[in-house]
Amino acid sequence: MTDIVCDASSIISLATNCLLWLLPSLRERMGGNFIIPPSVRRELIDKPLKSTRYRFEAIRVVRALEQGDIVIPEDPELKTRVAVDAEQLLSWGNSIFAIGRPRKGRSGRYAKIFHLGEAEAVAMTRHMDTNVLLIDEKTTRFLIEDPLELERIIERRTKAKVFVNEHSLQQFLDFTKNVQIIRSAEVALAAYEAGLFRAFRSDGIDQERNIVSGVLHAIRNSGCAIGSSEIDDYVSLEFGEVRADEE
Amino acid sequence: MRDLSSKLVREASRIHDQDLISLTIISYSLSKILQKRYYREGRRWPSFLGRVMDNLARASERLQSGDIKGMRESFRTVFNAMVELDAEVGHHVNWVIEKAKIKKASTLYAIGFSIGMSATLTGASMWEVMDYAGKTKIVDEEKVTRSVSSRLELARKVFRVEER
Repeated sequence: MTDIVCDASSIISLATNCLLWLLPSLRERMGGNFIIPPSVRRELIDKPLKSTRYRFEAIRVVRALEQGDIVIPEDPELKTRVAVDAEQLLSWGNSIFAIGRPRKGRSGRYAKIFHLGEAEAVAMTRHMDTNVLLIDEKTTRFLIEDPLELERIIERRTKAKVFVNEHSLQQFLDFTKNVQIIRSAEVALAAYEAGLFRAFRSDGIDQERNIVSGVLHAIRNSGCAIGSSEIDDYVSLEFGEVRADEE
Repeated sequence: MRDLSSKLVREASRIHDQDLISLTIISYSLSKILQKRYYREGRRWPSFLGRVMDNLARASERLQSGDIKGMRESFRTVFNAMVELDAEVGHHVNWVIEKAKIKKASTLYAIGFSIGMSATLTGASMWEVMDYAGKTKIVDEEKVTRSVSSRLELARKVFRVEER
């Protein structure tokens, strides 16, 4: 049995593209649940229900929750443990990068880049017997997989020197060392390979390619941090092609 | 105004200052308002301009005298003036400020703030920020941290899908 912890960004991508219908079949295949942390509910449901722009998408998420396709754990003890770890992760994650030289006693100089919802999702991977995190936003992924690349991005975009607090970085990496990340793009691709998009098929290889390319581009356009070159690579992988730059 | 807004958001990311982010949103919103003739030619324009200029000057005075609460009050008045102008003259409901929040949140996200933090700092909706950021080239300009084949392999394993 494998559970998957999801942050808000991945559910937003799936809900925006009307892809939450994939979850029941995928749940059955993996024999586990798609779990979201409690604080994510506010961003996913409560806030959009108050506006008109994403109200219907929020209703889709409510329905997925009611049907058990997405689960918010209710165990108070678990919630407490996740909250404690999330606080710790927030403290480490938000004291890694100082944009401009940090001054003694001025912790405010550290860039507070990491948010409670994302911290709770990461913390949950430790408490749900899973190390798989479904997350579409890029910053948490960089923090876990390649924090020094994130340092370079911040430097490039702020045009300022970034200083790294090695202690906080190490603590953060120790906590997250077993976390493995997928995005909604990989969820959709696995669903395609499992035949879940069969209803969209018609004759011809081009139609198959259009399904894969179309769904990946739709997910990207909704905010999943997947590059155009990655989409091209996935299409090539699926259809056994060698890309020009690999020849 | 737009250049100023870009500089301010970079500075706000350095010192993590919520008030500077408010000023960034004001600056960007004003730049959008100034671009549109239908705002400038409306009958409310002179009173709007007076209210904005007065309150920005007041915010500056209050900041210099250390009255942060008062400065925020002046910012709020500027926001209200823009909302009222937008409601009366604008072509979209509450377009100017919401667009500015989303744009600045997307900039913070590009800089390296998480999507949740970018939305929280600007007051934008995470749904809107993702929608906006997804249509930019932010991700194309960044390194791929894991190969597509290894990430797909993990998804196949989790969902028990055999390689085709």
